[in-house]
Amino acid sequence: MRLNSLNESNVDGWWVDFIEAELDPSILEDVRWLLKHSPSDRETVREFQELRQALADCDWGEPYWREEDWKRLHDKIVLNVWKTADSAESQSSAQV
Amino acid sequence: MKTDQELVEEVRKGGRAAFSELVCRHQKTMLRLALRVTRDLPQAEDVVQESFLKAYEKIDLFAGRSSFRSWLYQITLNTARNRLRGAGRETLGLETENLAVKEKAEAGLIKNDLQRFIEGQVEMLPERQKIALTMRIFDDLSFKEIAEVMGCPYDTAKANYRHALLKLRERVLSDSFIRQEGSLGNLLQEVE
Repeated sequence: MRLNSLNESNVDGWWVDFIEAELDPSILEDVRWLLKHSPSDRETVREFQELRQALADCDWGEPYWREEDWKRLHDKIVLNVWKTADSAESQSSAQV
Repeated sequence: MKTDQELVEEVRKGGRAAFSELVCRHQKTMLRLALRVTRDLPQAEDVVQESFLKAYEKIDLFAGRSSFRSWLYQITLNTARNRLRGAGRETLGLETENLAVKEKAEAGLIKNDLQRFIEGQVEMLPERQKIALTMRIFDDLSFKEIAEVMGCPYDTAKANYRHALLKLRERVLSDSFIRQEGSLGNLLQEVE
């Protein structure tokens, strides 16, 4: 079986691809077979899934904002763009 | 609902409402990204503001080969990096990074030990791995989009993500506290 010829780190990379649904289709059957027959590999996949979930739950870098905070940022961005656009437009009209 | 591409076409014809809608759709993701790079909320807001302005000014250059989101992401990432470069802190050293995590934790954010540990480990990843990981997990970008933002081949984007996750698993499993608990899942359930 193809799996036997690969080293452990390659196989770990497969598990990452597997949980991301990015596994090469040509080896999908081998991987499914391995998961069916190997409790330790099933445990490894579970660990990767748990780690991914823990990362997603971290809220890392997420500001704790209310809707009005987002509206304030939106309005600031849009007003800045219109102001710059209008100023560029009036400058080019003046040159004409 | 209109697609981003349709809104971009309207912006090109002068449609201001369309641009306002694009800001609505993408400001949260861009602020998260800017915050991850600058680690400073007011500075991150400035980065997002500047990035949307650049996007508006260069909208005619957007060819549509990539998604609008990944194009905007690229602009925001470059703007944030340039700002750090200007401030003389292009890359944060390990000590600074740990300090940043500690300060954030002490600022009153309610986080459990495991989450703080994981966040700290993410901070210590090489930049490209960290970017690939955060774009995939926090912003739900596809590997194609990540590759577009990072300006690298699809397989490289995927490899960066894969290396990041492998490294994090290794570090988490080697942490004695987590090892004692037997499983990351058990620990998370206990924390909840």
